[in-house]
Amino acid sequence: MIFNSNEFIFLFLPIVFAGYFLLASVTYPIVSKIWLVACSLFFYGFWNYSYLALILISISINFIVGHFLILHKRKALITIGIIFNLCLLGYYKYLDFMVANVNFVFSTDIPLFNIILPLAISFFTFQQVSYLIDCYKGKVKISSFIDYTLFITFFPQLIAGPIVYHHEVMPQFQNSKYLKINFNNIALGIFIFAIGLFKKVILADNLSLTVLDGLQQLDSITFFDAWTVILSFTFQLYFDFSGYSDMAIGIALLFNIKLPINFNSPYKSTNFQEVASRWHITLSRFLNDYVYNPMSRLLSKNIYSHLPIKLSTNAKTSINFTILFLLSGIWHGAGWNFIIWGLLVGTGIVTYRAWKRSEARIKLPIFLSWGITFIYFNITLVFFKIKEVDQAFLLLKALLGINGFILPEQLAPFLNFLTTIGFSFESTPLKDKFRALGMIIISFIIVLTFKNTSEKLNSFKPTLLNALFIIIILIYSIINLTKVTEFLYFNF
Amino acid sequence: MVSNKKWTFVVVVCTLSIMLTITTINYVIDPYGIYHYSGKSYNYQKSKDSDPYLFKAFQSKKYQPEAIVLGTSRAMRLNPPLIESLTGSKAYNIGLSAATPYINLKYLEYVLKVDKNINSVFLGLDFEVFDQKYMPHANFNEKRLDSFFYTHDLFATLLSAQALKDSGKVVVDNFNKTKKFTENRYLGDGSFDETHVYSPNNNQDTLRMIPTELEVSSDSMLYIKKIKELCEQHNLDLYIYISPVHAIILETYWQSDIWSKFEDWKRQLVDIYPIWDFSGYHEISMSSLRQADNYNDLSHFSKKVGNFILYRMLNKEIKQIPSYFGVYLTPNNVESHLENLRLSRQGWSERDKNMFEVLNTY
Repeated sequence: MIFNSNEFIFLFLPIVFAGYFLLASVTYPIVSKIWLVACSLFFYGFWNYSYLALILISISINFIVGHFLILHKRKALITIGIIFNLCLLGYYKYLDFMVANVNFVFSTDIPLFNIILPLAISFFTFQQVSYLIDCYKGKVKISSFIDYTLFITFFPQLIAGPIVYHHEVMPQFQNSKYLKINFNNIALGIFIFAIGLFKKVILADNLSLTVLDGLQQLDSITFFDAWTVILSFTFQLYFDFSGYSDMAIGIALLFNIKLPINFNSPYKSTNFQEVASRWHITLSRFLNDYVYNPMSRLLSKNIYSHLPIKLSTNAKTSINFTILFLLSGIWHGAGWNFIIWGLLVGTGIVTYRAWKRSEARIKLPIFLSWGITFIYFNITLVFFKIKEVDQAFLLLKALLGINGFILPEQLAPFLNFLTTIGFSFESTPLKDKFRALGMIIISFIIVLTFKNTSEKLNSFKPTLLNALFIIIILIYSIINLTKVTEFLYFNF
Repeated sequence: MVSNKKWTFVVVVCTLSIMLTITTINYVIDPYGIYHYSGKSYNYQKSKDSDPYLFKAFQSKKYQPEAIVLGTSRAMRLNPPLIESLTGSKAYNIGLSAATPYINLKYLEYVLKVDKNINSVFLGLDFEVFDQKYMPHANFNEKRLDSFFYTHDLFATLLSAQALKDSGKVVVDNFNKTKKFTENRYLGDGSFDETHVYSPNNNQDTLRMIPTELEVSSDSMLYIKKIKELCEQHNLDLYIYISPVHAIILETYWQSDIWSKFEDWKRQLVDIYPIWDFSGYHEISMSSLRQADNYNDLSHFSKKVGNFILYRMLNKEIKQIPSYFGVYLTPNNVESHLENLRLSRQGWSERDKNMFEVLNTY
């Protein structure tokens, strides 16, 4: 089940909400938690019930390992726990990719397993790894099976995050005052949910039409169409994923649970390190806490200290960042395109850091530094979107004008002067390109001039004007839910 | 500023009220003919976007027919009121454009789930949809028929911007008596509305779409077998017939060298179940397309011919049917019948000509 579906909005959510608070008011808190777990598992299984067993087995084993780690801090045990999770992820997500590469390198013919990626496995695996490490570090003192299952499966954040820590949400579920209906949170929840739904249904889904059309024409795509397609995808990705996160935060608020923010206006960034810190914040936080820091310590102790040459701190940091974003790329998907994407992101950050330290550095105007950052981000997304690397290079070539700087002939009367600097005007195949341009302009205005959702959340005031705004965008979004689509991040 | 409680109340109540209003408008106008097909003056003509794959699933459940017609758009020429008058069974036509045997099977399974009254099935077969390469129609949605819990159609037809726009267009067209956004292609009983006017190039387009290569799908034959078995399991009377396609189409099979496959197809069918074969070079199939008496267009025979098919299969009003029309095929007589059909081709003066040229004047 997905948030932008009528079944979710009109049936699932009202039933779960009513059941949760009704049970909380007439029975013990544990019963309402069991209700929420059961509903969350139904939510997960609605998509493909065959993977319910997998998530339950994974939860059970992690809970048992975590339980022993709380009682006995054993390095072997945490190692086994982490390896179990990584093996599970490796089997379902990377096995076929590895087999395909073995076949390619060694000219073998090992058949692919054609394993279907279980929904949300990347997200719940990370959340469980963080739990085990927290147990090992003594940050988790006590945990019941129901609490733990709720922590992993709580439906607003189960499918695509935000990735939360145990100590972040469990105290909220355990606090009895959160078991009562709180209209402050409900108002905020509806407010944020409506904005997220609008981002997804009206903005992201409309932008996706241009992206789908453009991807059909990669063999002959040219400069203007290529930029229209990649800008549409850049905004689609943001509205899709941040819209999902907004809806998740809004729904959780209905249950009095505050989830961490996941996006903080990433497209306003003026350098690439800032983009990384504003985009998918809870993933960055996880990678920093549970991958980057331990990896840096490990590399310093076991690799850098044994090298024949002494590396500067900056060099070590640059290597660490590159490895980190390479891993982030691999986490996003099993494909060479994601590996290239991760390396491009890492390179972007390392380059910015080198530039920042450079003595020859000149201070760029804000607009220029924003432009360079944004254009580079668009280019990295070519490899995020297109799985086949050779196809991705077709789009990249067109973006860079290698096929010529071709603009649609309809623009000739207005931009004819550009012919003097090498542009030409021809018929280009992208459909509805001026509608797409309109969507891109609207998207620029929204991401660059409007407050983001978390800022709006902090400044929310329950006025009638606000109510009118929410009613309009809610109804407009709902009556446009005719085509149920998936969220881009469901595939990760 | 108001309290959060009041704000929540205002948002929820206003949103629900407006959505209820939209739902009511779409239900009353019913632009796709789902909830009450035979409409009033304001919605008699339905939206051009009305999808028979959708509304026939709804209507067959609502009407609880005793007899159903399955098949392609050609089968839509079998008249439910005539079936009712000949058999006494309330009938509904679930003929669907370009429906493959698999689609027919799925709709039969669906009707068996939702309709307790069903007692007979009329299944029209068309050679083209047995092609291995023939893709299921884009509007076919298996979830609609299989899922225990499927609400998408309800929301799409009641609470959607598209339905609201189409409701407006339907009302405007019906009040102005225009057909800019609407048409009358289907009747409330699921059969074809013969007042529908085809586009001028329709026949040429149809001829271009007739396959020149064809391999009969073995899966499709299995689905026919499955339909037969389902009918036996549920004690349903099953009538299977081959449509009387126009001689121009038959000649295309012949000229494209797929006639032998057309014959093999019939042999395989009779091995599964006795078939009424109405195809062949005879007065009806060779009749002119200009009079629109026997054929609505090149691809579709008329309801008058559909009535003959019903009379023949139900053995009623025999005197009204041309004697040559309809042969009951079994494994015992299939070879002699096929031989007769080959010979009957000699009786058509237009054979061996370019069919596109013949069509221009036929």
